Amino acid sequence: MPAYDPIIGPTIQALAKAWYGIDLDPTRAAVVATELDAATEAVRSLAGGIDYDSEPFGFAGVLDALKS
Amino acid sequence: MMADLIALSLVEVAEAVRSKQASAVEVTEACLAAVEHAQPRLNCFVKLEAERALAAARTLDDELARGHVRGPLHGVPLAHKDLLYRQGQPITCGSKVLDGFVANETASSLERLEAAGAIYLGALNMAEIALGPSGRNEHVGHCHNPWKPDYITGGSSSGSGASVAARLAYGALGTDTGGSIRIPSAICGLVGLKPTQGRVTRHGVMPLSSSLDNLGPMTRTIADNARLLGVLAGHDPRDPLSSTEPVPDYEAGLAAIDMTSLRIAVPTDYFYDVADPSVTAALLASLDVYRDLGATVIETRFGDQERIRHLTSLLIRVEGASVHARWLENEPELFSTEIRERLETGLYVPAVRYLEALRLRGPLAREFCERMFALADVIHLPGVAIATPSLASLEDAVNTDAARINDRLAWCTRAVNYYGLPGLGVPCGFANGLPVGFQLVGRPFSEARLYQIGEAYQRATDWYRQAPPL
Repeated sequence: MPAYDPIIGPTIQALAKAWYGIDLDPTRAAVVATELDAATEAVRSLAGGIDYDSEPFGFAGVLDALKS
Repeated sequence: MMADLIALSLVEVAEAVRSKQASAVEVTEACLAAVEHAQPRLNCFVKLEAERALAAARTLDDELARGHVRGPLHGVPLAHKDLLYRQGQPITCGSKVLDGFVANETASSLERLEAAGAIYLGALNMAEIALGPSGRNEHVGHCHNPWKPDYITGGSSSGSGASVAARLAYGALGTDTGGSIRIPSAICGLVGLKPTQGRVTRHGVMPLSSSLDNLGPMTRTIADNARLLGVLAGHDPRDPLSSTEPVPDYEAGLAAIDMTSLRIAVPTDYFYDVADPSVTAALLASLDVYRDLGATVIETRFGDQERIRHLTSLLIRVEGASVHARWLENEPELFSTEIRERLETGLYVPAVRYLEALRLRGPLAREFCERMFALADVIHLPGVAIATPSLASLEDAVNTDAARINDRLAWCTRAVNYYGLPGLGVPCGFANGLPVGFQLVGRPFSEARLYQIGEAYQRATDWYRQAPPL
């Protein structure tokens, strides 16, 4: 079970309530924080050294270029 | 006679109708009888359209009597995942959130199939909102695996997998956002294609994650799958993101491949990390078949696919939360706890992270393709690497265990969605009495090539001929 961070946990709970009216219990807040950490770490590590030479939503063009 | 008819493949039954060895009505009646027999045990269908199907079959028989063949699916009964819009009809998307929803248009894919002569049998069970690799559904009841009804079908296209495997329909449409065609295809013993992103129109399909959703065919054989893709593929003005890439004849030249020049890449990292030994044995045996056919198998490291899986999850959760935000905020009780919690995470992902995950897609797909397809012509991966869980084991699992099992069911499929590549699931044996399948992954728009490589395996084996004991 992910640990409840004393700063991140309450922050996520407060945002959930303020933005969406959702009551997140501490366990759920800890799970959300852990998943956000994993996603953030993945983005940061994979983005390292990549030159963004394509448009943000130009994925169809990428596929076209790679077809053969 | 009826048992003989449902044993035919899609291509065989189309030929039987066209040559008037069987009528469309006879074929449809055979499917409906099979559904009536199997439905209480499998719960594949959420809506059976028997009268509509028989009426369509009679019309098709009349047309054939006048010498008119609508197309390559004339008189072939199909059934589809319950997320395709049909004008004036409700859909559930396996959920309660669409209660009262009636579609005001018909999905382009349904129109294409019916213009080619297909008969629509009804709507199939699926995981709630198409989110869930186990295929379980607390709202409409779980779909059961025809090989072992106490086990999951895989999902989210659960009914598509179970119904085609159980010989209730000759083919089905599923959708695949992170593996939802390939996972149930592997677990139910089917051929299932996740096409290249944009290859098949998504107009009229209830979305989950617009960046990653794909519609594709699930069938018993490679040739059946190729026939359905031939009808489905091609640009659709009603789906601006559908590709304008020309559509080849997928059935032509299925056997025309020189296996001695084929190089197959196999991972030495990540994909088999969670594999069950009995599943691994079947997968490795399929590689031996390819070696015997003359192909070269190249073992190689695939790199950091775990992080790619995280990026895929991020996109699914954010886009899924966006689609379902109004219900999450106002009527969260409409979702099962598991699905609500999975979606909720998407509400809190910073927009910057989401956009980074999207922007990384192009460069990472480019890097992956250039690296892998310089080395090999095709990639061979597990469809599902873990032993298929029982329904009870997931029922008993506490949340974190269930999340872990779900994660591992989609362990081998999600990256293929992120890269936008085609993935073809092919059955290759059994483990613990349940089917095992591999997936062939190729360059963008290489579906014809994947079919050839899958067909070569199918001709050398007979897994696809085996039917569950119903």
